[in-house]
Amino acid sequence: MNYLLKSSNFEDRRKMARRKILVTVLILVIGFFIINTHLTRQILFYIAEPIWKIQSRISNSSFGEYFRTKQNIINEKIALEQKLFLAGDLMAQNSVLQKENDTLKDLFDRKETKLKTILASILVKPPQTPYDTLTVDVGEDQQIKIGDKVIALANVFIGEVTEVYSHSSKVTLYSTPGQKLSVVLGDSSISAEAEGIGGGNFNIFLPKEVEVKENDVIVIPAITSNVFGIVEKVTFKDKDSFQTVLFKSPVNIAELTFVEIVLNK
Amino acid sequence: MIKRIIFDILLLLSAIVCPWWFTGIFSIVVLYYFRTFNEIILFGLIMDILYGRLSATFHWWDYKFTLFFLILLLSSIFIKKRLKFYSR
Repeated sequence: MNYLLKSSNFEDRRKMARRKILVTVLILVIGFFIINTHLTRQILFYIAEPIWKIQSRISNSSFGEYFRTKQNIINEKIALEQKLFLAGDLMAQNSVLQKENDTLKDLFDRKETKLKTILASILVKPPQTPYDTLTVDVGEDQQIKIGDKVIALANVFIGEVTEVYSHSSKVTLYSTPGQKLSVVLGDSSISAEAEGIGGGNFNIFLPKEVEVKENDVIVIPAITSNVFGIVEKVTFKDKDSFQTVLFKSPVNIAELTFVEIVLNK
Repeated sequence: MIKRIIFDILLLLSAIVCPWWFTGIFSIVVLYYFRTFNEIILFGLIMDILYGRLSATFHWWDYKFTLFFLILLLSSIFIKKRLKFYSR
């Protein structure tokens, strides 16, 4: 029986293919380190910023309102009036409680310091990106620094500034998977460590003996109590000695258009 | 070559403006259209830089798009070799 001998052409092709793969891997590795530098990041953000600003302006404009039906607007007006009535009631209650809180703090000589914040418009947010990050339109030009805290809806802490560029910054949300934060849980003020699991969700592991109910409020330990999350679900198995508390931030990131950045003094 | 540059620009714009899933679908179309489109990994890296978080230590989950596009590229090479009707 005769077999075809391997031609030198076949060997050459194999060598060429190997060389190609090696060169591609080398280019990839070098490219990875070049593109991951701060300078390249700044250039990329410099290119992307104007495009994001135009996109943000278009999506925030009222152009779509011209194409809505009359009945649709009437229905929305009724729903908004009802919401406004409820919000007004809550605001009245809130101001009474705030006054009482201030008086008590004055009695104990604990003056509340007003935070110096700056308003920022969100350029990129989830679900455009699968990461729990936001890109906002203020940067070094507005004295934003890495580590500045970010709040939404006036008093809910949602994340921290992690990258600052000339006219924009990137905010990493506390709900980023693996991000850990100290919190105080429920009426009994139990200190615990919350861990982000993505999409505005968190979990806490606690001994089963600790009593936690659904809708319990979670706050960040500070002299000013700001709601950080609301307990959604408590799960445990009979044989386990720990329970998992799943909670969610009251802020829906997808609906946000503005945030406030707390400036460090 | 001009076609390739146009698709590169479109992919970059898609990475900046469109939701991530749209860019994912668009990249599959581009990978099918061109015989080799190795620069797709570069777009993955760009998306990770624009949207991901910068951390001091290396975590693979901070480079989701780079990995996703790398898997897409490798699987496209594998599939294209086995497709009878693919003749580009």
